[in-house]
Amino acid sequence: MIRSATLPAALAGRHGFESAGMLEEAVLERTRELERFLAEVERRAYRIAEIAVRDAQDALDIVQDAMLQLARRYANRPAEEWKPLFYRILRNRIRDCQRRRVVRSRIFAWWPVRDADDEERPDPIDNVSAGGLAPPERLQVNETMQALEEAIAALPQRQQQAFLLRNFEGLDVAATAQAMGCSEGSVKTHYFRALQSLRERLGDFWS
Amino acid sequence: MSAEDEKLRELEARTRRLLLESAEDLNAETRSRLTRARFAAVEAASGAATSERWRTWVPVGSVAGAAALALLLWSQRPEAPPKMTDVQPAVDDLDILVADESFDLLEDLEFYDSIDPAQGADDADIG
Repeated sequence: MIRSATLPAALAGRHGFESAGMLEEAVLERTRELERFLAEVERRAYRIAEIAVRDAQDALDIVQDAMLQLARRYANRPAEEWKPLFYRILRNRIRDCQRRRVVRSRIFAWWPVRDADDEERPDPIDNVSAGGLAPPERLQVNETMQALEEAIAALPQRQQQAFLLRNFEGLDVAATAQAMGCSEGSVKTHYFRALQSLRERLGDFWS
Repeated sequence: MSAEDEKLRELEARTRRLLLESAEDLNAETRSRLTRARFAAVEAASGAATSERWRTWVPVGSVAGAAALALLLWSQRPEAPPKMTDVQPAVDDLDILVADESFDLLEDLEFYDSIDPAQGADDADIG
């Protein structure tokens, strides 16, 4: 796997441009393509991270790291490879965040209890979305969404990944397997089990 | 398709719709921060491209600069100094002209050559 190869070097090597101007134009076009890709995935990636780590600030940091990592290391790769690569990076960042939390919670288990996030907790008014639903409908949607998020968060990690990548992001089985670093058969199994678990958890709520 | 499968398909569709709506419905601050993160990432990619362009042109520029400097120094060099072999006789002549000795002595060179230096030394010992 090529790492840290820069865009011009990779493009020049791949296409053999006749002039520096043509190479520069190709680099610019690739940069625009990368921006379009990131703009397309950023919100879903954020929601995936937020559901996984249950914290808005951590989710933003995770997505930012994943974007930077993709841009620095894999911008020269064919665009069709970006999505599985990006979600693989995102998955690793989510896992790193969860591990840090486990370590932190073990270290500070004996520490005097204090909610460190009190001062940084966002104002609920800031979280009012731009949606145009009336308050009662909004409340219902929020409750449904909250139930769904809790159900997804309660899934085993691999099932959660398979479900969010397949269902939410819309990756096919092969791309999901690439992003998760497992076989396509495992993806199908994890996804099916995730669906069954969600149905059991949400059945009463959604019936 | 069994009723069970149908329920699962329905669940899939409904969860997908809800999740997509939630992604489109993010608050302004979150959207803004995602946009900034995206710009930073794109800048990192194009920054790598810029540094690569610099890396390509720096050696070429260095060689061209060195060549230009050499040409400049060559064209503005001072006139070549006269060689020492040309200068020395003139200096010698100057010494003669400046000296106070009488030129009459130079006319009696044969006389001075005939004097035996050894004999002069003996005379000095005696004296």
